Amino acid sequence: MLSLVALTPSVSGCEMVKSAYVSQVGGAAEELAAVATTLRLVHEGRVTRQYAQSTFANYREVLVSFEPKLRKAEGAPAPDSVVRAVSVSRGVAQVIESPCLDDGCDWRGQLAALETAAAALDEEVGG
Amino acid sequence: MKRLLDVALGILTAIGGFVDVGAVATAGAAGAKFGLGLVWAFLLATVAIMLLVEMSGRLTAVSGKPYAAAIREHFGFKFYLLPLTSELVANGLMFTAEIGGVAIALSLLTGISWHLLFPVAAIAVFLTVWFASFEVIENGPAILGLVTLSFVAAIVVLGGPPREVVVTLWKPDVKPDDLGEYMFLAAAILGAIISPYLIFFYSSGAREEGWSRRSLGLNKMTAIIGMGFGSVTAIALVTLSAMVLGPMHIGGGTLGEVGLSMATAFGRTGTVLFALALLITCFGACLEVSLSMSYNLAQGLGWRWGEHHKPVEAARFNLTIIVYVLVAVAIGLLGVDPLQLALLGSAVTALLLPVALSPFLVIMNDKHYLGDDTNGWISNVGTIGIIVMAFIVAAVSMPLLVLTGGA
Repeated sequence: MLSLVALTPSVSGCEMVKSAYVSQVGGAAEELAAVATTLRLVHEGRVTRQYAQSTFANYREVLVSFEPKLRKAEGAPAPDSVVRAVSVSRGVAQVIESPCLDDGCDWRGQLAALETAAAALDEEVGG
Repeated sequence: MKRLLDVALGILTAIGGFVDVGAVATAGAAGAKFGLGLVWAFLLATVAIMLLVEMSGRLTAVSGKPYAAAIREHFGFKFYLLPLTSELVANGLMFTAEIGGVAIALSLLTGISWHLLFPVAAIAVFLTVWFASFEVIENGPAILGLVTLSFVAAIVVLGGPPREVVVTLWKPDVKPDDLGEYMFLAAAILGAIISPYLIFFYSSGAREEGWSRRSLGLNKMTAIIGMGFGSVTAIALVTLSAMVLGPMHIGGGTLGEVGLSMATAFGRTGTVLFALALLITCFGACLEVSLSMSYNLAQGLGWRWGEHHKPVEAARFNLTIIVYVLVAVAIGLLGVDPLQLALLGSAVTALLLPVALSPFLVIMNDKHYLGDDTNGWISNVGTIGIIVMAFIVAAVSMPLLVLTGGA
């Protein structure tokens, strides 16, 4: 417990907190991993359609703020890092907007795109 | 069943601290990011809240006075304004967050947007608080809340935590740049569980149930079983997230994500169980927070209070609930994320935690209130330890909230 107090002042001074850029990109990678898992579980029959609809609405709310937050975030390692991360998220925006919850569409393609995007963002922040 | 109903007050109290909207999200994120590395915070907080709840119940059973009324009487109204103000602000935020949690749970069950369901949830909470007796309010969520034990069942179904997860219990995998987030989550867990509104609610509930000196044994049992139940369910959720979400690199940032671990264990039934558990616990927490706010205000200002009175007989007590529901609906209609509100509410609570808890040390040693049932040295040492912990949580929670952006 006391270590909480002892360490708090040093948290900001040292590298004990991720930069805003790393937090945003890492968070987006985790969110895309969740989107991909939800999509996979839907098609494995392990998630109800209602649950999937509701979670996708929440994912959209979280990810819609990613780009503006990322553009304001400090700590990007290189000027083109933000551009790359934004480009990755835009690449799967359509999937998050219109996920393929039925069998009649290419959900496997969507799943692959989401997994690739999550891995790319994860790699971007050294995850 | 009778035994369960005997300790229903403890279970409902525990629901607010251990498995409400903020606690579910915190447990999910803690497990997903740090495995079992924050279970120590849950265990520490469980022991602390058991002790505090037992003391507040003992105070009411022996003196007939709830904790809030005793603070006001012993320290005067000016001092009481501090915990009262912080509770009213924090609980206002928490109440809105809990209604949001109910709306999200309904959304997970129906697929309808939680924004549309928010007013429905608020009306359902209001009608329950307005019309239901205290017995229904405590027994309903306590019995239905047993659905949260499905988190434990899910761990068993998945074969228990693997060795690499178990190791994180004593050797948490915290990378240097994750330390801020780790500390923030630890403070958030401690602050959420050792929450004064649980204590205010429990002691007022003891009065509603007409506890007397003969209830001291029941009080001990209720404190231990109730808080123990909450702790088991919260730690089960941490474990489940560590087993399922962590390896998938899912952060548990939304409530729907946390429920995916239940889907992995039980399939569709798991998602329904998770949504029901969230619905019941958030609904229970709504009842608890709304009543706690009204109890605090009524006891502080000397109004007639209690669910055994008809609304017209305790008009100001009930008017407080109406005002808070209206404020919550207004905030909710703005579309503010319930998890952010819960986080802010916890931070405000943590700031004035020492003010709310320090009076325990004085009141629980006052023979005027407790006669021969004042604290023994073990309880006093425990109380001092909790107050020190409260000061630490108060000192670090806001800076960590700012530094980590709420993790």
